[in-house]
Amino acid sequence: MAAIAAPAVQGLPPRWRVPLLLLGFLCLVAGVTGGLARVGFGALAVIEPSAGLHGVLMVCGFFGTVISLERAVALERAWGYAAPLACGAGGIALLSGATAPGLWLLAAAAGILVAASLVFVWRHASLEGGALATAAGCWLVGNVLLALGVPPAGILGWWLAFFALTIGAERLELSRYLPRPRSAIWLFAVIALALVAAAMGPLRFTGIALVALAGWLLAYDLAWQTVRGSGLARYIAICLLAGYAWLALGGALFAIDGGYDTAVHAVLVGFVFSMVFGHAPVIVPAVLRRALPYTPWFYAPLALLHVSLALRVAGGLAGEQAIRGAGSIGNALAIALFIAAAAAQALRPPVRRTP
Amino acid sequence: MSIVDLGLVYAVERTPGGVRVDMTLTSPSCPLGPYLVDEVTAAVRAAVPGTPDVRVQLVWDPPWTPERMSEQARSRFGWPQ
Repeated sequence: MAAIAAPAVQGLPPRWRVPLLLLGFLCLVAGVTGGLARVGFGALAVIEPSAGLHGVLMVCGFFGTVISLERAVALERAWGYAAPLACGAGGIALLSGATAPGLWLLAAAAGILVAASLVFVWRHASLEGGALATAAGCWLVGNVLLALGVPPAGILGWWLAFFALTIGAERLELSRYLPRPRSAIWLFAVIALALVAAAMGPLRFTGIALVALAGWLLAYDLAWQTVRGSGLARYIAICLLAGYAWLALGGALFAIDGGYDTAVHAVLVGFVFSMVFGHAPVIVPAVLRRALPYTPWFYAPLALLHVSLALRVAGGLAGEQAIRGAGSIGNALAIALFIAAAAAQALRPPVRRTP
Repeated sequence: MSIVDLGLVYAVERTPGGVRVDMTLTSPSCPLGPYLVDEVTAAVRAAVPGTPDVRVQLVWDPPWTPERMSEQARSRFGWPQ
């Protein structure tokens, strides 16, 4: 009998993806503790300069690494992994004080993500693929401007467009399972263009576009179907729908100049982290080839994330720093709790399937 | 709901050397592609023990469309019968 060959893994073996992920997690720890230092918990900043780097470490060092790693896995080409490597290395360079090399590494990472995204458009041209490539392009513009000396607040519109279009494109793709009017496709395209155009203007324009995207997602997302299911499907749907509510609120806060810090965290914690919590049980097996079985315990960090964010936003809007700080601690604990729950699930011995 | 119900499996053929499966995804940018190829390969090997050669490949032409879903899946997602 001929030997049964193991399935070929193209690009980079899963065990070599772990160090890339760890770079992202190092940026996450530094970014979160740096963020806590900014709201009055300086003793928690494990790495000295991380407070001033909170935003770039979270957006590029962590989210950028995770998103570009996920894209590299789909690309199945070794060069695609240069993006998460450059992201993680850029974050480490920033923490070590090498500011200029760090920022240009982040710009390079975004450039590689653009190239990877264009390969997908070439493989199969679609609105979803175009939106993903546009998202990467927005991240590239933001990172280049940052490297050229524009402060983070000045490029936030580009970063928000990156997240909104990346997540929006993935949801647009999955909404194809549902019957949807042709006008929904056109509406998404208009919102995507508005997000890009708004990034060039004041943040209130981006806020309006984010509210529009939240409305689109709440109207057409598959989550309204899957939330009626059970187990993992229901959990993911709840993560998504809760995230869309935060996207709408954060966008509205940007639109009315309702507080920069509050609006940023409504979107990036309420919307983006909720997506991360929801998609981890699906994406981790794809990236690391290690099962991450769903457990109802995943609801504990999810609930803590949203409740503590509500506290943080309320404190921010009311100008109550103690409440804002308590909410921020809750956000950090929710992230730590989710990572602990996910790690415990991933390290569990696999359940033997019965024939 | 299986990937067959979702219309993601285009062909399953017995070949002289084993079994060949052509499947797709709704998007080439989905990172689940390589993982699903492994899972399908394992499922075929479990269903046809001793098969020496199992080839599962992702194809993008023709692209997936909702018409490829089973009647059961379309009904569940609210498509008109």
